[in-house]
Amino acid sequence: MNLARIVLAYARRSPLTTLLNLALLTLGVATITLLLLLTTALDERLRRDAAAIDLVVGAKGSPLQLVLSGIYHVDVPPGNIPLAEVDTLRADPLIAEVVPIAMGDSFHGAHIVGTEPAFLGLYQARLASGTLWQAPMEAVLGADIARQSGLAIGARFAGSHGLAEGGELHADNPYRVVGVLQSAGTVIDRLVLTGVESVWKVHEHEAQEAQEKPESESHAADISPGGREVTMALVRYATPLAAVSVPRRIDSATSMQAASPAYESARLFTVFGVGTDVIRGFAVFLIVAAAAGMFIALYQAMDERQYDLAIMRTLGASRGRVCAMLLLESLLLAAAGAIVGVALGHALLALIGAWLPAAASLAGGASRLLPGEIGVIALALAGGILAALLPAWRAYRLDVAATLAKG
Amino acid sequence: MFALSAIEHRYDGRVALAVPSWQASRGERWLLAGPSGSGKSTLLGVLAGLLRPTAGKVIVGDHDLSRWSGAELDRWRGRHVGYVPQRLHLVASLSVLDNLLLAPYLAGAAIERAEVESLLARVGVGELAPRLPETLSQGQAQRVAIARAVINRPLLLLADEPTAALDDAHAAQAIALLTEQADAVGATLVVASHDARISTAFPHTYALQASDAPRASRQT
Repeated sequence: MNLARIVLAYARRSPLTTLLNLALLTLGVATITLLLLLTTALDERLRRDAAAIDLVVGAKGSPLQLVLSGIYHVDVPPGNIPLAEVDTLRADPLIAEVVPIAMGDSFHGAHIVGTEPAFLGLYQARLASGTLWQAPMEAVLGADIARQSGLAIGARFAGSHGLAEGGELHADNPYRVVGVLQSAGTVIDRLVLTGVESVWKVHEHEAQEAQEKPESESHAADISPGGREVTMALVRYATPLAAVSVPRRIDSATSMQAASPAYESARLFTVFGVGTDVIRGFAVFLIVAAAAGMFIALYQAMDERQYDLAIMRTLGASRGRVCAMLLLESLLLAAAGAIVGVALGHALLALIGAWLPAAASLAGGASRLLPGEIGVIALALAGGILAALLPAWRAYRLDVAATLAKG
Repeated sequence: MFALSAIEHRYDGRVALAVPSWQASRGERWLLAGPSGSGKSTLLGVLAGLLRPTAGKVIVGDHDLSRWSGAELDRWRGRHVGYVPQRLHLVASLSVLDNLLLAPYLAGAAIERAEVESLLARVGVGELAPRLPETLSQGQAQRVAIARAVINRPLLLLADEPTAALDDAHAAQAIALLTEQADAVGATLVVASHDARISTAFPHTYALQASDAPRASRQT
């Protein structure tokens, strides 16, 4: 005989109520856990991608669009900027590094980015095999793209026109794979890298077409009468002080616009933070409902349980002990719900990672326990204790002799 | 075994129980008689340490119960008092075996499962061990309740109206079982009852008067 046996016996006595309350608690805890894991993974991912980039400089327009397209590659870029203006940035003593990028085409939905070798350093990437691009039309594949496409060094592929899938193929100007990157756990895993010249070369003929048909908008880094253009420049400051003056100077003195990834992603987080707050609130509501359900179940059972408690008192249990038994009973149920809920949250994340390739990189956190989850478990346990407080008080106050006599 | 003196217990200012003096020795069998409302259950509660009388002295064994704290009383009761309530109150969620195991668990007594099973067999319900109380007949449930009361080998075995719901044959069996089990563990037996059928089984009787009658109690 032990406490767990007694608790189980009572839980079995009203299995449906017990299961319902456990299910509510489990769902609430699982929802919060999943949300916590996802937002943490997303936040870390966004930070890691932007870790080495202080500023994105591109055409005037939405700064958020600049950051989304230039760093995270989840949006199309707003337009082009003259290479000459980018080169003047290199001369600025407050700026340590300027990495131009030229975009316009894609391969299997992955952006083909024309850039310089310094780009690898911004995303903590290293070559797994082969070499970097040296001549035009040589390409280096990110780890995920290499795996998904199955292309090996020496293979040729044609980029498709535009950044969305299903564009016209540039079959006349195929790329040749010269290197494959190690997995870096950043967005570079899903990019195809090449020299800026390659992007220019692919689009030379289009520039001519564009001149013939002035109404068609140039979509990519191109040759234009004013000189060479790129899509954006990624900037690393030489000193934190640069943040004070450099963006303002770029915005006012040039045709370009500067966007801070830290500021823009914080802004983005506040936007969908409202959504996660709503889901979190709903999950807390589930936990509260479960605690209320446990309270009602326990309180109603007290009419029957009081005789059991009276008998336990005559068998030698003290007031404190019967009171503690009710609290522990509720606490054990809450603990069971919390543990199953946390496990379910992790399992769901792993499942989402397995089903949605895009979320696979976020599912890496499925096997680790976050400090916030301790808070979720504590919330569930607190709910369990609250549910049992009033019944436990009744048990403490129980008049044993009168209860036995009236029963 | 126990000695009560000048016990008085009041509910809402009304005297619910009055026991001028009552002594019993170890191993004796006592019938606690008296009409309904004379305070028989209350007196059992006092003997079990479940109730503190408003006035008077309760000595059980070598102990003055009125000197003890609630927790000390609970511990003492668990180890040394067996109580069979009128409605038996087997714990409905627990099997017959677990109902018996509950007693040593709560009293902190080391009682082996085999010992519990052999006691169940001795009181004639050995095959019922895995069943839930609601599947038992009244007579079977009473045997289980008596077994639960004696499993910790108490010094004092108390039973409240054990024959009220039983026919003659079962009433005689219940009293026989109580006396037999009290003798087996050497406990002093006190049975509270107004059932005239069973009085012959008790060498000693303590009779309580109805609370509205003149206060006089009789010890034989």
